[in-house]
Amino acid sequence: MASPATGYFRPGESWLHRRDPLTKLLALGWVLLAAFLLPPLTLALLAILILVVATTTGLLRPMLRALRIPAVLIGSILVVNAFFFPGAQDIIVRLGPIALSREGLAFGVVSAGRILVAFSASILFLFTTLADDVLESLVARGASHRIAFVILSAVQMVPRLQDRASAILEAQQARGLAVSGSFATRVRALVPLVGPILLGSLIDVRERTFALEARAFGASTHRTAYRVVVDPPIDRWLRLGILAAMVATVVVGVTGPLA
Amino acid sequence: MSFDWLTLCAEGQTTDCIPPVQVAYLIALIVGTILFAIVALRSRDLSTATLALIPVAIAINIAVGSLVYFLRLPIYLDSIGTVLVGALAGPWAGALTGLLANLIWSILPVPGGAGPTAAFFAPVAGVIGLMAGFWAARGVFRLRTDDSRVGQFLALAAGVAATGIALLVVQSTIGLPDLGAQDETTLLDNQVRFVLLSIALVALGVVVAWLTNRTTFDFEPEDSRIRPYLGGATTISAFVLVFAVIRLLFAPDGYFSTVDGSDPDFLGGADLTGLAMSDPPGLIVAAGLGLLVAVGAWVWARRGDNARLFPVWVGGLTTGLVAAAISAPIAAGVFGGVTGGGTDALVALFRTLGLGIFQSAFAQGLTSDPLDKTISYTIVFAILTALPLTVRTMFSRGETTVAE
Repeated sequence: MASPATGYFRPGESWLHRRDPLTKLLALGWVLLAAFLLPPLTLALLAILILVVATTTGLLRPMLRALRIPAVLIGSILVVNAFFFPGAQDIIVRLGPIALSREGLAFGVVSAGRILVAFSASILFLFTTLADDVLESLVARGASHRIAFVILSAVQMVPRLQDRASAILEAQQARGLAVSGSFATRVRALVPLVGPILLGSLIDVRERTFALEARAFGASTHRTAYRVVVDPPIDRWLRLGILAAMVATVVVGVTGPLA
Repeated sequence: MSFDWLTLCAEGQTTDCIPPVQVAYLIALIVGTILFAIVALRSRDLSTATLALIPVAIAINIAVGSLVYFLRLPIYLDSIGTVLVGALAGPWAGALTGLLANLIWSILPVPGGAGPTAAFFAPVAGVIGLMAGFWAARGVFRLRTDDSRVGQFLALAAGVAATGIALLVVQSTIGLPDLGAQDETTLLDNQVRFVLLSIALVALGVVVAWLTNRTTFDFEPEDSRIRPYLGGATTISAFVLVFAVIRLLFAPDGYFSTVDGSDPDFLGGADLTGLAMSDPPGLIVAAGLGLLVAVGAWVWARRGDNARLFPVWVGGLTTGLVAAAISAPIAAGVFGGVTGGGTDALVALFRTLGLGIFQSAFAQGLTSDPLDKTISYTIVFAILTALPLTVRTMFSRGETTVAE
């Protein structure tokens, strides 16, 4: 598993890695729109498209392995809908108050398919794109560097919080805090563990504010970029094409000639 | 050009109509985009201190939210940081925290995390941040038990209670209109009646809140009635809460009656139907336990400044009601009400009670959200009390968290 700071990113040189982050973001947006707006049959086409992209970039195996993350969600969607579908008429098997219905199964399969397509497209995006690059190219196009700071430091804050948590756990154990044993003991240990983590990281905000201000974070003058993200010339045309596809998808999805 | 297709599908209808799923998805997308645009504009005014606080709040949201999701509790606790920022730095900073927390949560590989589901609820999280800022500006985190402004919160609680009681009365006498009707004219008729009924119930709550604010809860400064009233309100709420939770879990058709081991993922497929108590004893047990807790709450609320938590709870409760109203269409539309967390068991329960997809999602939200937000507001109150004054006053609205 990659470290939480770089997320799911896998370094590589495939054609998808070389695209501009914004092109990939737009393409992901189009797949999500199509998965939820177009009729269920297009899900199969989208799935094939995703499989082709994954194979040509050599990410098929990691993508399939990552599918265990939404496994519980997809399992619950299938089980709850198949067995507890309101107003179901076409019952396959009945077990007391719960019944396996054909409508429920169909609804569950379609919902699960949508989540599956949305998830595998997102994971391909995350595999091939570094969060820093997305933000860097957004800032280069005039997005607020303040929002970019908030997002990046939030992404890096989670592993830092984990480090702090393990440090505090060791410190409190050194002072004699019992953290294992019965359920009641573990609940009682929560306050001396969670309290310092929360308050400590909130008090740290003061130090970080001073550090940022000392480096002219709030200044309104023009900034230059330290990292430059390449934008291949073909990407401009790709982005236009994807935007057109998005508009077409919304029009087709809402007016529904395919339904 | 014909616009016949421009109607919502009834349950079971498939052609010449727009499925509610797509409408819910589009509305959520539009609300999220607009909210994000406003917040992005407003964020220019955020101070450096606020911008340094937001990432910490996001990390708290994700850490606690993932833990609760992993434990499969029927609540979320993923908005503690959002409420904290709303209180310290105002509604727009709170909204930004909520939106970003849910978006980031869905792309981070956090163990036990909710994954991509969180992103769909980003608009809800944004509104929670807005409401937290709104309530903090009205003083929920600073009022003491001798402040005459407490009356407004008692009146609001009375209004919510009046709406709830009226809903129960309507349900047990004339019954709620059936929204799962097959016949199209009956369905339309029922939908109109349902909307009218909801408006009437909300109007009743508003009138009760307005009247009681003008009469019963119109306190003088230094009024001697404030503390006993707060204590009484705390006692009644404690009784209602305990009674409702016990009934929801242990009633003959409650939560445990549905945990029959049919889902092998949940608690290893344990069969807990034996925990559903039959009726007269179950009712007595619930009332008895409720009374016991109520007496404890009375003693607790009379001691010191404890009862100042009551306005905090009113803020949490109303935030939860609004959150439920916004999240239900998203949960129903995108996931059919099922999100993979501990709340799924509640959805299954409401479906076995005969509610539709949307109604089950809404009923689950009405059960989980007010409880969840009340707990979150209480935790935020505790954090704010423990934070040093010099840290709190670094932020633009920090003074709204300093007791008067």
